[in-house]
Amino acid sequence: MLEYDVVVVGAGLAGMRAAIEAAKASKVTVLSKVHPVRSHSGAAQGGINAALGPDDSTESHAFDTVKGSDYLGDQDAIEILCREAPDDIVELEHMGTVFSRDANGRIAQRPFGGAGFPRTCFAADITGLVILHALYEQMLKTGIKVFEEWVVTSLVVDDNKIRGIIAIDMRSGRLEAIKAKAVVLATGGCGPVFHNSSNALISTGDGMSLAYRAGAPLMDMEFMQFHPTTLKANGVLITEGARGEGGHLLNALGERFMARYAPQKMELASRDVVSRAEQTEIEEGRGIDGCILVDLRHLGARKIKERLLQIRELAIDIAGVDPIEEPIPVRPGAHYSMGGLKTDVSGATLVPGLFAAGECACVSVHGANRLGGNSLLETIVFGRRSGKAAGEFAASVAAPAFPESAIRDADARIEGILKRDDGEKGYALRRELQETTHENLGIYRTAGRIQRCVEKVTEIKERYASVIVQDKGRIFNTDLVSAIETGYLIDLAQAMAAGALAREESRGAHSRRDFPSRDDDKWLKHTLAYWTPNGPRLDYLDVTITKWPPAERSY
Amino acid sequence: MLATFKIQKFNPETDGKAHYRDYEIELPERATVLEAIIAIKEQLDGTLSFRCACRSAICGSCAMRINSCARLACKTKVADEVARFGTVLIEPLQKLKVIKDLIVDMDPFWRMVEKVRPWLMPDPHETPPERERLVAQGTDRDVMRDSLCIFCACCHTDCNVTEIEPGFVGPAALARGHRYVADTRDGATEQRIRLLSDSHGIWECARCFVCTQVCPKGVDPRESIRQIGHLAFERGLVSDDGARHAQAFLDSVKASGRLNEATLPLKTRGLGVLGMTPLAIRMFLKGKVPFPLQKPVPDVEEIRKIFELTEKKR
Repeated sequence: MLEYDVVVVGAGLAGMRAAIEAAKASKVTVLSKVHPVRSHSGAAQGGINAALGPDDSTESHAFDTVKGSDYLGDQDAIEILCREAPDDIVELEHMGTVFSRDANGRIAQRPFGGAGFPRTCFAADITGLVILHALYEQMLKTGIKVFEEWVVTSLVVDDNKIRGIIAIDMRSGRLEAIKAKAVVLATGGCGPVFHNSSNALISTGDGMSLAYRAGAPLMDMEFMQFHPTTLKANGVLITEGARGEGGHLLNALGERFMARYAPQKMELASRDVVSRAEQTEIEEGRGIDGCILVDLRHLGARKIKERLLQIRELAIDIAGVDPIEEPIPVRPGAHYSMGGLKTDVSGATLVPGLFAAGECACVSVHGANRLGGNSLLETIVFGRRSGKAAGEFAASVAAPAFPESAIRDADARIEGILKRDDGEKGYALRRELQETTHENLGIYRTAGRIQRCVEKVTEIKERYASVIVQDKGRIFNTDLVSAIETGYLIDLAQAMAAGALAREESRGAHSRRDFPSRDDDKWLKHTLAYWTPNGPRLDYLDVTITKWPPAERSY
Repeated sequence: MLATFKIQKFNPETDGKAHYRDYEIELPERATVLEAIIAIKEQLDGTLSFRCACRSAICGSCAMRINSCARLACKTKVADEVARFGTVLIEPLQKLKVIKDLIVDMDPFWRMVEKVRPWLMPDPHETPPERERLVAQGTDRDVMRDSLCIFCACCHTDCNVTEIEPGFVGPAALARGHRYVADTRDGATEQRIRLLSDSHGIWECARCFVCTQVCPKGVDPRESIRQIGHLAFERGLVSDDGARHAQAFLDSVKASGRLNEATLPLKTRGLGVLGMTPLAIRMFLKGKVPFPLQKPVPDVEEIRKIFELTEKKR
């Protein structure tokens, strides 16, 4: 059996950054269900935040993040994030990451939503791609082994300790076990819980769900960020950088409607505020075919071609609109899960030896609403910290015993799906799931709708127990993998809906029409969701406040 | 829109060889080929296997041959293909071993990319600055263009040279190599140019521009290859047959305004040309050997002036 000190699951930014750090002191490998450069971190467009300039401060970055989080972020974690950001950016630059530059040759920074200072470092609108490549190339240079196209099907936890993982090697179709002293999950988000999310088709919450089932609680899952500018046809992202560079949002009357919702920050209010404003405009009849417009024409062809080249290409290809000539129709779309596996500031979950970093984790630095440019930063800062902590943990424990039955159990579960002929295809179930979350767990929520969602998801989960696949083979069975992933999405939707129903207030991305205000007396706390066979069991945890007592939030 | 698809299928567990299967499916007007094959998989044939992830031409997963050209399925419109070809023929990328249906073994491609040592190698004598290294605005245009590469392997697998010379590192790897040659922060430029202009490097390029044409991201590998060649010449790294071929080509045109095909092999390969003797004999017998002595074209002075002006411009 393969054996490592640290196994990292996922090869996006958080996973590779964790692996590079852990490899300094331990034997490490990375497993990924896709080749590392295919990871969805590569689709991040706009940038990565750090207070680099002499007129900016990490304190100011931290305050903006706390305010953006609607005071639900843990302030100790936020202070770490912002304080360590500048050194991490410099390190990325030293590794070879390409950044756009200012007139002095320094890393350029653009304004982003909810930020009091232009502190978003970027490479045109392909920031995620260039950092992903830089980290992958460091992995090549270091010689860290990657098991590509291995899909993890179980975390092996015995006696409340991590023992390793079991994965399908897609190419052979065989189940393989890897024994590990520590496991770092870096599997990204779960956007496809919703219809037309901006996420990749591979972002199916695998790590969140596997750890949740293995006993680690999820935190704040009711907070799903709806990005204000996604394309109508398929939810593909138009970067916040479009507004950062000066783009306007217009309604059907040609008004810059943000003046009514965020008179000071306008288009650069935080994402929850902008998405709600758009949704209100659309619902009150001032939308165009279910969309509003992002207008870049006044930026001029040169700036668009230099700094927004990718989104221009996407707008032309997907929407048939050249932003140099015409405004782009966009609408809010499910984009980022603020919630995830509850971790401490070293990435440790509540299962000893199991760590998590990046979107699949909830440290929590984003609280109820994440600021643009802070997610890439989180992957680097907390990827590094969790890699280091996992390495140290591995050094402190003896080689774990791996229960032999685990691989047989995993195989039996897969055989069960492959052999079943009587049931429903996973695709139909997934579509129904996405329809109900889209309809009932969107930007504006009410008890009645959330309740409907809870019931529908419970029903889908029951039907999922007899999911079938048409492809009965073992080699590269993407039909099977998709069915397994649908199971993850269902579990996560349950945790989201349960958290949303219980939280009787409006905070950040969670807006209850029946409870329109923030209620710090009752709800200044994190939601924890524990897996049980009968659905999630909720618990709550205090928010860490260090310097900034909750205050009214306006932009 | 009702569209028809002919898709190459191969299941390693049951099929001896690949075969084609036809599908017909109703799609939205603006559907991409990726949306189409996802719909086929979900509704008609769950066994249809392909890679995909981002749906937005940034992850490079869904490269495949669509009507005989390597493309990203997520960036190709069904309606455009139907308008041009009537149907949508989908096959796996060429030259890589098929694992299942449209999924190919990408390993040989990744090994080529690794060959160019794609990571920053700062000058070992330099003490890294406390903050970021400075890069003057505008000096990184080429680096940015090369950085747009998403490693989809469209160029590599449609390249005419990888067809006949599997050892050629290929356009994607060379563009990535150039990304570091052009990077002012890198301290191994000389070493890189040597590596990239060595055997199986830039001089194996046939200058057919297919790479630049098929690239879905506007990377222009041929331009990157040209720039490396230029830098190799500047440094006098001209011992490779390919470099000598380019030089002989140039010299011949400069001297006579013509390409002297009789002397070209000798100038390119030196004494190695002796190995070509059997070919030369066969060509002679068929009357195909060009006469080595050529008259210059009538206005050869004009051609020399073009050379002078070009060299002055540099």
